[in-house]
Amino acid sequence: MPFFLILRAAGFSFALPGTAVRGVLEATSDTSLEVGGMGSFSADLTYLDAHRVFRGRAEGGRFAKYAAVVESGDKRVALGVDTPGRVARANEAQVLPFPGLLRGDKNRMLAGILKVGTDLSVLLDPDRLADVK
Amino acid sequence: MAGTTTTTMEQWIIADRGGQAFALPLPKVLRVTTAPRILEVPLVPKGFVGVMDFEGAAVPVWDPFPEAADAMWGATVIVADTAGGRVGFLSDAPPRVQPAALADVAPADIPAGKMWVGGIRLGGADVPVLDPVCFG
Repeated sequence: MPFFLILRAAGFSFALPGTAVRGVLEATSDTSLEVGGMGSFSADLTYLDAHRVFRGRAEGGRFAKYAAVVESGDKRVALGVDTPGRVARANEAQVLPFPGLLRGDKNRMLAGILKVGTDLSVLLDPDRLADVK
Repeated sequence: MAGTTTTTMEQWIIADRGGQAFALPLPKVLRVTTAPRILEVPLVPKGFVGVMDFEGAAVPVWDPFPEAADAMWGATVIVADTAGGRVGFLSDAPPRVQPAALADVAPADIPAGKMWVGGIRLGGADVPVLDPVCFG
C-alpha cells in the first residue's frame, strides 16, 4: 500500500513519499550525526541539516534527534528531523499543486501540499532533495 | 454643472495588521475566513507566510505588513482573486465593511509595491488600498 511519511523538520511539517524513505534513524551518543551543515554518516549517506536548508545558513547547527534516510537513484541523504514521523496512507491523502506565486529557484524541492483530512504538509521531492547542495 | 466634482463612494473591506489598517475593494473579495489553519511553508517569497486550504486548493497567505507583527496563526484571512491566482491576505481581526471614496493620499502613506494603488480617508486617517488584481 503506497504511503507518505509525515514529519516535522526545522519547525515545518513535511511529507515524503514512502517509497523514497529507507528508514528513520535516532541519534544516540555513538551516532555521528554531524550538526552544522552537510556532514556524512558514511561514504554514500549525506546529512542534511533541515534548519540550514529550510531556514537559512545562519539557522544551521541545531541538534536533530532523528534523521530520515531518503533515497533517490544512487543518492542517499539523511534529513535531520524533529520527530520520527507518522504514516498516512496514499488513499487517505490528496496532493494539492504547489502555488505558482510561491515558486522560486530556491524551493524546487517542494513538490506540492499534502492534505490528509484537514492537516496540511509540504510534500518534498526526494530527487531534488537529494540534489540540495 | 461647471466647477463641481463627483466622488464615487465604494464599499471597502477594512482590515488591520499589526495596528496598520488597509483596505480592499469589497467586490474583489471572495471570502473572509476566521481562524483558518495555515501551513507555514519554507523558502517562499518575502511577505508570504504559507498556505491554507481553500475550496480544495492550496492558497498562498500573504502578510501585508510582515514587520509590523509576528506571524499569527489563527488570524483572519481575506481571500481574493489576483493576477497570479487566489491569495489570502492576513488580518489580525475580522475586518469591517466601510463606504468611502478614493482620496488624495500622500505617497508616503502608501506602502511600496504595485498592489498598493492609492488610499481612502477614514475618520481622519489615511488607509492604503490594496487592489488584488494588481497583485502577483
